[in-house]
Amino acid sequence: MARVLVVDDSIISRNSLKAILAQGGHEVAGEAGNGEDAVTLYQELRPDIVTLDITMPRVNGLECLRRIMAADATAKVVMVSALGQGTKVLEAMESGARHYLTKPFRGAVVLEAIRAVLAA
Amino acid sequence: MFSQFFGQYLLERQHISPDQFRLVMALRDFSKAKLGFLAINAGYMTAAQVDDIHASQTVADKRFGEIALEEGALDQNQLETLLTQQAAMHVSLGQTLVDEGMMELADLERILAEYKRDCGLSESEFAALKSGETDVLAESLGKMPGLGPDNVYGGYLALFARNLVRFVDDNIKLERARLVEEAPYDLLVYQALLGRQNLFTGLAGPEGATGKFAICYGKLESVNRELTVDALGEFLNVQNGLFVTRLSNRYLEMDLGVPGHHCGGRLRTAGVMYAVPVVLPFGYVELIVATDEPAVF
Repeated sequence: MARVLVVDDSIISRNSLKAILAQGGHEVAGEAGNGEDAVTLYQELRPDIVTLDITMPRVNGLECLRRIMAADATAKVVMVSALGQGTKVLEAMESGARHYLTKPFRGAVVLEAIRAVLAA
Repeated sequence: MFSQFFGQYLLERQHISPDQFRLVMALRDFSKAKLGFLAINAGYMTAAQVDDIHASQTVADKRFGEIALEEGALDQNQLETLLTQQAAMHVSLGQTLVDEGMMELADLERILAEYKRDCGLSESEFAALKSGETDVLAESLGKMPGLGPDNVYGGYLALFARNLVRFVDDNIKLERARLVEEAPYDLLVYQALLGRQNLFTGLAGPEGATGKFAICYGKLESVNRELTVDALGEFLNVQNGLFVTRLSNRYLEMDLGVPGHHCGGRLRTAGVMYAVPVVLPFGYVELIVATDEPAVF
């Protein structure tokens, strides 16, 4: 079971992911709707995994990833993107993200990504 | 789609009342059967397999049958059997009107001829509408010259129509894309596509219709302004993500901007801007497509 911090400016996306994680037996340690809150919450909660949307206003997902990795080089971050954002996903993986998910979410795909990142 | 187009015409010309319109559309909906349901009924697929394919459609612009074949959930013979069943079960709007005693057959024939004359569609567009070739019709109605190369931006409306049918409501009526200098809105949710040439895309509409759009797309029980903006933004993300992926397959790279929204104003452009009205059972929304981000007033 993982403690997961869910970061996405979309409430619908956060709720969808939270429901999948709960069905998979994982704990949602917290949630954030923007990159700044995400970095603060990460340092407070020290979750096992962070799911992090790439496209967010003000502090985008890539910048948020860099700040989390700077605070904790062992952080396990799973990037979340829409289709067609391959370049940004690649950049995120090169910046330390462990895995990625594409919206809209498919339950089995999400849970497999969480399992793979936990096992690594 | 023909039922929605013709049904709206009957309503506008007062050949049927709003209550009769709702009744015939409901009866028509009852007679339709989605392929997934038929596949479960026939014992070809499980509900979990059907759900999985519906989920796949959100990340791939493909029909249910196509994905089922690719994933081995159905074989060709099974798919053809189901498609034949589906066609046989479908009851046309016209037949429903006559069967329910709302119209005589001779009147239906006369009104159909009037509709063909008045609908503003070309011969080929009308033929596509009658034969259910949604893609052909949407491609024709969605021609937006001045937006950019047709081999790049063509097909945006057809993709939009497919996504509406898949994820919001399959009773849609598209109107022809109109070149506009100004577009008023109650609520506008937008997203820019960023590349060598940018594209501004948006969904605009009155609060009621955009709220119901959000309920249908997000499978929500109710909405407020925040959830409506969220759901429309997520729909645009899916639409534009699929579009950008298709462009990428042609070695044209574009990126998705952050969705945003405005309330109660007008868009004005010095560039090229199109508005495409879409009539849904619960109201209308407009798809806005422009070459540059319009000024907001």
